[in-house]
Amino acid sequence: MLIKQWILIGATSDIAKALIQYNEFEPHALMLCAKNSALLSQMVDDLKVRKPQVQTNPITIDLSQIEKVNWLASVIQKTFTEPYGIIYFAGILDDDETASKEKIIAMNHVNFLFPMLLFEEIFKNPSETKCQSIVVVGSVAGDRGRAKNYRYGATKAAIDTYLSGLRQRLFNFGIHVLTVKPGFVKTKMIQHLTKTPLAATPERVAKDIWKAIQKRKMVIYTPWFMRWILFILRHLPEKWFLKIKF
Amino acid sequence: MKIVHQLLSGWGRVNPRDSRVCYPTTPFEIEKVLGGTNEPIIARGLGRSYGDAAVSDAITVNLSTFNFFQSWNPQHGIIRVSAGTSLKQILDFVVPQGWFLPVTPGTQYCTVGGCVAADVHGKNHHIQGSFSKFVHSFDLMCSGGSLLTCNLQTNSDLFFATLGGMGLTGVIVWVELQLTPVQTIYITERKRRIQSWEECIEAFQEDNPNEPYAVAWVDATTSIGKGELWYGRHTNEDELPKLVKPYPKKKSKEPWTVPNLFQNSLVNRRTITLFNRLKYLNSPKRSQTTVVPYWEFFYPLDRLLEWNRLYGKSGFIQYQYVVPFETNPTFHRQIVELCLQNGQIPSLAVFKRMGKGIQEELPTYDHSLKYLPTLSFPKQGWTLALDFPMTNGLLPLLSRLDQMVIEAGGRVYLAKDVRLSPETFRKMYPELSIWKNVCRKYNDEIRFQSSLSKRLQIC
Repeated sequence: MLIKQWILIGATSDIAKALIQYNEFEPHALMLCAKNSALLSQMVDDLKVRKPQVQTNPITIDLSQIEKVNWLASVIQKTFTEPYGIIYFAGILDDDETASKEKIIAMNHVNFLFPMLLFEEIFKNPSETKCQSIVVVGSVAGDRGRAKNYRYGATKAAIDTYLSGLRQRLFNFGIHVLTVKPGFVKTKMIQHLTKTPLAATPERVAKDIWKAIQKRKMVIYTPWFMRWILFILRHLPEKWFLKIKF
Repeated sequence: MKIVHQLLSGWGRVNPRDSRVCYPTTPFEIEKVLGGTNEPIIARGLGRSYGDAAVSDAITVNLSTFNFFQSWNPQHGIIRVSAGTSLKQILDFVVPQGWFLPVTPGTQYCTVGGCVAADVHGKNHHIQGSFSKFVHSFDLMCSGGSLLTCNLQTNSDLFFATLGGMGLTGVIVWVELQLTPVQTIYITERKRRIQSWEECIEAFQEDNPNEPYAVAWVDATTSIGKGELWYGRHTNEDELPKLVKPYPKKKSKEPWTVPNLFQNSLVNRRTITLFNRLKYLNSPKRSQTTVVPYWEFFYPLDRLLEWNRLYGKSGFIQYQYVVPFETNPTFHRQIVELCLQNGQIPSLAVFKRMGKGIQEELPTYDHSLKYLPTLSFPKQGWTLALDFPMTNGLLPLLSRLDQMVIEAGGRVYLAKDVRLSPETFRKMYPELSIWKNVCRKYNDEIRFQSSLSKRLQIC
């Protein structure tokens, strides 16, 4: 059965925007959660034009404030009485030597702690929840720490491990857990980087995510060839890995 | 707002500049950028203008991620979108509902804001006019930071100054466009071979409102004027075979992207000659009619993304001029001959007829202005666009072409320019002084500047 109600967390991210605009994504209801309320209302207007049949419910929330987790979970559980799915797009990449402690903490909150606490709250009692599917956009950076982005990579590795455990736990309840691992995607997040080899467009990633949801895949790399690049990278002996410069 | 350093250039990749770029996604964020600095600012979209119109040494506001629909009236075909929306996004949405852009340039990867600022034209300019004719109104952010609504009734002087104003009057934020109804996604295309410049001009002069689109490709490796002429019109539903749906779900193929590998231009004397010969041989000897999806007719170059990389690190220049109808028909031949004599072979030459520009259409507008303050390029006459790989002798040659164009009473397209001098520019655009007055009236200081405006000393 295809889920028709979706919660998009980090709805103003470029990948989320591309998914919302993707033709074959035809939900009945959408709950859009994001920090920037002006941008969010612009997106709701856009959605009203593109897909007038979709009921939208914008929610302004700052994901770095983890105390809001319970509030969001209760809003979600109250709003949805039909099966629904959650797609978690939010992520922060604040990874240079000068990043302050506060920034690193915020990055950890948004990338890892918030989704973990939210899913723990929602799946307290998996047999009763209406949530049938969760999707989290992770990153290939979580597969192996590189000097350029290991702080960010660590948060993504954490969410990866968490999801893998959650998937096993929820398997018997028929709840689908998908981890998405994109390579470079041409989004706001990487605008400051000068070299972004093999960067994919958000549209392509959104399309891959939607196809993977329909096929109930568990872990996808996008674009597909990233799987093999990361396969090699993961298996490089540490001695050799030290000498790689990228 | 995050500001990042980027090496920016126009589509021709000539003269890259180190620019500070930010990517606002709401009008409020644009305002914050404006308020947060005293430095000159210029808006940029998808970077498809060939020259340095959307490049700046200072701050560039990239609006390509500011792409939202605001409202849509499917009864009358009026759409209101943000300036960063690309024509492709609009077409993908409106074409299945039976609407089309009344004017479209040769790529769909350009933003609406850019189309307004450069007042772009299409293959139907001689019938329909330029893009600006279908702009109902827009919201502009001037140096003050507030949004000004501009249309024929309110702020009409600023409205005209911004059409073709190259982004120098302010940042265009929202645009309301009039679309045109179509019955299918198809274009009935008619091709014919042409043997000479005279034949080409004659063919264009046969007025044919049934076929509003007309454009010629000319083999400029010789001055004969051999080439191919394309006519097109929107296909009606009853002309399609029974099994063909007017709005099929099929999409254009995923385009290929040219990798950024080439140091030297792949476009050189040999490849240009080969390409042009083959293209001519491939053209039908007798007139031939086919039905093609709209993207094959309007956007053949969009099949190859980032095709400007084929010209290597040094880039290329497109030189487009328009000269009045009265000009001697041999003018274009002389231009091509002069290029060839100087060893500069145009890789691509596109020729078409232009109708009245917005200045010439002034009487049809209902308002009080006597003379329009606009820097819009199109005006009645013949226009030829020549692509040249950037080489040493090119710039002096183009300056000589400028003189010929001025003598003929013509001008050069600013959206494609990267080398015009302030003096020649003033001869080509006599409206500059009144345009400047309007620009000053709404901007207390000179906030909007690009490399183009600095080079031409516009502001």
